[in-house]
Amino acid sequence: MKHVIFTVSILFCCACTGLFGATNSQTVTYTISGVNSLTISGNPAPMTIGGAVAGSQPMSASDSSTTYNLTTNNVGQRITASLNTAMPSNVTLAMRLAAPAGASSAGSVVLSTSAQNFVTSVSQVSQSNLTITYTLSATVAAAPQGPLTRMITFTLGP
Amino acid sequence: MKNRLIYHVISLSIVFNPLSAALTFSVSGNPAPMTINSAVAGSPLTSVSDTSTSYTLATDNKGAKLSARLNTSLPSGVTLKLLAAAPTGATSTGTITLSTTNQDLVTGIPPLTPLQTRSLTYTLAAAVTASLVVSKTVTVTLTLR
Repeated sequence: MKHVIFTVSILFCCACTGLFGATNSQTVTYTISGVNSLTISGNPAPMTIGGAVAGSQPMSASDSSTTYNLTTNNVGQRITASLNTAMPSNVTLAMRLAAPAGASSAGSVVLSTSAQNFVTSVSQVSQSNLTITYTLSATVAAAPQGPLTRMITFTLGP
Repeated sequence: MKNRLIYHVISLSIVFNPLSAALTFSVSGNPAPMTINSAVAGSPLTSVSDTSTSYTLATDNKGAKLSARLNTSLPSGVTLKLLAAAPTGATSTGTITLSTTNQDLVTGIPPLTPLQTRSLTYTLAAAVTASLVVSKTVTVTLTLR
């Protein structure tokens, strides 16, 4: 008697990487540094003191034609400003900076050759077209003069 | 007369190769360190980009695609975007914002795509409210399937 036994084996052969995909990795290294950026729109128009109400000091002159922009990702910054040269005797130049969101304006501050705070508590903000207001004042004791120029240096920092 | 038993054992093997699935995939290395350190006053922090790396692939698979994910989330206010140029016949999904979820970068890679190298463009951005960070790393895993 003859017996025939069949053995059937089925082999699956597959390229596993092709079936399941392939991966690779990249390492990305990054740094976020502290940034302070401040710009001014330009120079105010010339200011002239030339009139007075009788019995009162000469009328002051103001200008609000300029603005500033700022961006900072730091916390607790301030904007300071100073003159390059002192004003003539009995003449003052005051400046007021509008504050960006979350910060505090010091109001109108008489400029000097020492840096003074104009805006404080400036934190993580980016804002444009914030108003700068200049006020030029003189007493009757101030000598007639001009045109004179002064340079104001603004600083955004800790 | 004695009965004789004769056994014939026949073995049959069927070799089933459903895919001749050759798959080649590599990346050229890591992008250069990226640093955000400037801004135009009144505007958001200036984002930075890196295009120094590339990927190389070849595939026999039908409907292959390239995807990517991060190993960990980025800090609040920080985003990392990736753009992969597409091999011939495939479609790039454009610039994607990477996350810990796998997202398609390139789809419809044709079968029998020969060996090709294409660019990778990373873009790092941060809001002004993002915390300062020094030399942190994140791993991007790219998968070709």
